[in-house]
Amino acid sequence: MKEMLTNKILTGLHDGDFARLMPLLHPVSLSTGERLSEPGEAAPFIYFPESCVISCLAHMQDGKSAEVGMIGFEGVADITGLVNPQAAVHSLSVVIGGSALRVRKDDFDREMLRSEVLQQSLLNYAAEYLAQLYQRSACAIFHLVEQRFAVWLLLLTDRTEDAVIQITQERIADYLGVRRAGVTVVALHMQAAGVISYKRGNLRIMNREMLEEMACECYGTLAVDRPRQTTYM
Amino acid sequence: MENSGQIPIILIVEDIEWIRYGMRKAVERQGYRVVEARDAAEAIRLAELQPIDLILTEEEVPTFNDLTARLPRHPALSNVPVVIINPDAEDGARLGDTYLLADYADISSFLAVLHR
Repeated sequence: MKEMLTNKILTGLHDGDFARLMPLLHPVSLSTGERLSEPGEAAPFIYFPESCVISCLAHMQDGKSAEVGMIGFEGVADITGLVNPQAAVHSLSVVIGGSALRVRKDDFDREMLRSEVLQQSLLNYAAEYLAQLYQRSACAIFHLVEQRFAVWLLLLTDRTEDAVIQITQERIADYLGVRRAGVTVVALHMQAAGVISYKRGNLRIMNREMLEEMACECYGTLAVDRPRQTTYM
Repeated sequence: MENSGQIPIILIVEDIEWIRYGMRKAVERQGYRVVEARDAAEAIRLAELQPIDLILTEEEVPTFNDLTARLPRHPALSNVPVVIINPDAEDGARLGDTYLLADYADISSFLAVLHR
């Protein structure tokens, strides 16, 4: 079973720890745009993404939102729920639909107490996730929307391994925390440069090298290694 | 005021400078002349001073409702169409009295149909 998985935290577990966790893990298919948790709620489930990508969104009182963290095969959604049982200030939303393994949070809490390897693996990931939040916070302050859009597309496709993304510009705007019209003018510039194509919810990366050139230095810090052999332990 | 010149004039209404700049570049690439306003009041002042063929804005401009409410009542501007470019819009889509076009390249055919 473990060999069939992609999630780096699960595949990095020792066989004994994985065997105890396995009966608690339920494969689920998550839909694009699906909300997994809302601000003010304590999420009942923990998700280990396989092919899906989950976004952690921060919300403002006027309804605006912005992605502060992205979680794919390399991690777990969400790590703050494991550390702090209080109601969350953020929400979780599925950016790209796909498969994940889901476990009830109370079941997972029990397993976490039993396994030091699991605890260490989660701590390692927590450090990596915090580093993502730190870098993206600074990126949002210092860098242009076009650079942040390029980074976001690279982070997303690192996790999906697909050059095509089914997403509307309105949803991209919600993740980047900018107006839809802003995404439209930036996407137009990228299209004119031959970096992407976009037609009604269908975004295709045409030239990844040029996309990396358009991105700011933050992508170098934020890139995740795809090989499934790379584990946290 | 109607434009009797050869090249249509597009009035862009957008409060955020970098988005306004991007819209201007996209419109100019289509061969149109551009004037810019940051809000509804400035847009109406500019439209009273010179002929305007089309007003281009976006749905999140803070004065969007003010703009679309005032234009039809203005004697000189009631026939100037208000357009939003949204690549996710369906053909022929409307937002109230505002026309939605999927691409800046669609402005030409839109104006041609309007003046037919």
